[in-house]
Amino acid sequence: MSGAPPILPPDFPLTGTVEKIGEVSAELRDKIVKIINDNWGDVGKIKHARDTVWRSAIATAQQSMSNLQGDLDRLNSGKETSIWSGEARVEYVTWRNNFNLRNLTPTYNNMIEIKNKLDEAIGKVNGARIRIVAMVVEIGITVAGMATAENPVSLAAAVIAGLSLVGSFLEFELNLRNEFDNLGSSLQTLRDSRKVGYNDGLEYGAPPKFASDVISNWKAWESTQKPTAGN
Amino acid sequence: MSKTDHFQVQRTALYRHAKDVHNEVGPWGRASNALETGSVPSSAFGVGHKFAQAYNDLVLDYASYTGRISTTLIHVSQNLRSVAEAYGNAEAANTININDIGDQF
Repeated sequence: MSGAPPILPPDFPLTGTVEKIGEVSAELRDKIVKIINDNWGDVGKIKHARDTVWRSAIATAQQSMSNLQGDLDRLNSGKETSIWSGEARVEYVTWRNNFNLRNLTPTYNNMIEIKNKLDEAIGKVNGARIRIVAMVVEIGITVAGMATAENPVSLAAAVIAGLSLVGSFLEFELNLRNEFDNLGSSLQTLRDSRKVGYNDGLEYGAPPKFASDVISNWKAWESTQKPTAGN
Repeated sequence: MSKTDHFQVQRTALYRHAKDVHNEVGPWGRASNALETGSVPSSAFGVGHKFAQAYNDLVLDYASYTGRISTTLIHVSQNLRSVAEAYGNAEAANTININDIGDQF
């Protein structure tokens, strides 16, 4: 009745229990295996992205924003103002302040939000894992109890009890899918937030790709330009 | 301070600021490169396939976005250098009014 050994995630800790369940009911085992493979996920890969990619990028952005602000503060200090004055300086400082307000700061804040969403995702996958382990342990105990009974009625009852636990998990899985969908929608909102308008009527968007002919024209360096395809 | 000295000081200050800005090009570029490796297989999120799709779209979006910030800083630095060079030219000619230089940009 057991058939071929189930293929399970390498870090799933109860492979032997699943095999023993399969010796009693292949149908129950197959349902459990599907649940495990659908829900177990790979927390290590998510943590890797969170820690080595996002945390690193956030720290880099934070340090760079601090450096850039320090540079601008020095330029705005009395000494530097007396050195570089005139319309070009005013245009430049205005542009830099807008660049910080509309581009750097929102980018930094959104990166933190994205990292936090990954934290939530890790929590959900771990939550599913805990539920799976609890379910497999409970079914395993039930089935093991029946294995010594040598009573077909009790055996059938154990399988039914196991299928009931599987059904409960599937309800949990449905809710989990919905929670993940909502979390995904919040990511989409973050993506769209780059287009949220500001009170001054300017729009926060991606930095425009400046053409060489506007390099020397600070007034043209508005960050209100919408990104175009390929920009 | 003579007009020539004033031009020299302005040029030096702007070159220094251009260099400061240019120093921040690399960090944003590295952040962009890091984010390019930030995709996560959909299966890692278990049944969170839609979340995975949204996340992987977003990570590429921000890789591109931080890359553009890096590129923008290159242009800012270049522009500052061009302003500094204008002061240098003015210093050489010693005929241009400081305020006129400001009006050029």
